[in-house]
Amino acid sequence: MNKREKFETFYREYANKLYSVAIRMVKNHEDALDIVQECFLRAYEKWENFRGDAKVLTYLYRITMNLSYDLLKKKNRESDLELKEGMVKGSDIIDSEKKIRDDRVLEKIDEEIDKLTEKQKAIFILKTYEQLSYKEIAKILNSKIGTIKATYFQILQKIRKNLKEQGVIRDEV
Amino acid sequence: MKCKEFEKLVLDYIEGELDKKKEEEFVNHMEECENCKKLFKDFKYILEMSRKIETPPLPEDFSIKIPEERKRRKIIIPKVALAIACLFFILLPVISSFIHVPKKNFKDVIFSDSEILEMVNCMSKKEIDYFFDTLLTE
Repeated sequence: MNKREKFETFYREYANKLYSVAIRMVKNHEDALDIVQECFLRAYEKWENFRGDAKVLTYLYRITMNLSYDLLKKKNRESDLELKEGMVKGSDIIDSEKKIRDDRVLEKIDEEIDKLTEKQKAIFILKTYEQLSYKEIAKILNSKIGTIKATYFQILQKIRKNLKEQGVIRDEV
Repeated sequence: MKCKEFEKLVLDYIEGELDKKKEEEFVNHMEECENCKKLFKDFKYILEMSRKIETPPLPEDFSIKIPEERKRRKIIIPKVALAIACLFFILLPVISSFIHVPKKNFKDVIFSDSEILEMVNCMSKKEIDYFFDTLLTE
């Protein structure tokens, strides 16, 4: 397999993953596609520097996050409301009453995630959706494992507090 | 176990990363402490619900166009520039020999005093020396 073929295999395996991370970060389809495109182009150019898939993936996640930070800063955290609405629809809820309630919770949680800082959002996405280890996230975000872990706890505390204040989750056990 | 330690371990417990002994201590504390039990339940609920937030899939027709040119352009342009620069410096003595800067020849020209004064005013010291040397030798 030559470099190009290897790269294409790698691309097919991870493009969707990166797109999912990018769209959660920037909440805009076109921007997310641009980020994925740029990420893979940069990875292709540096392909010789990578020895294994794990290293490339870490690199790709890092680039995704950096490009997302830049874009969010540029756009001053404006989000694409249309897509945001499209993103919060869960598909596996059958009971309609429960569905309405759950949809409301999903919407609120999504709003809370959106309120996080870029770095908090990156940690939340990489941990919750990508289910990466604290060690991997620390490597991607160039931070310490302890800091990542503590921040993740703080994020959940913050979301919990705000959801409580809005009556989305109740105080009684 | 104290509540502080419970808080420290709650995420590891949710991820199933506690060893048997710690897990037992954790569960025992949770049964005794209502606040910690609520914290655990809320965190679990937030995470479960968060994971239900879906993203649209990457469009099937989307593909990365690997532009070989992009890579080449980046590398080749500096190489070409470097090669041209090197060639220029190597050939500099040869090039300069081809570029003939004609020197002023005053042999067959007769100038008035005012013309000489005007010319001298516009000349550098070197040019003045050359000018007078020529005049004197002629």
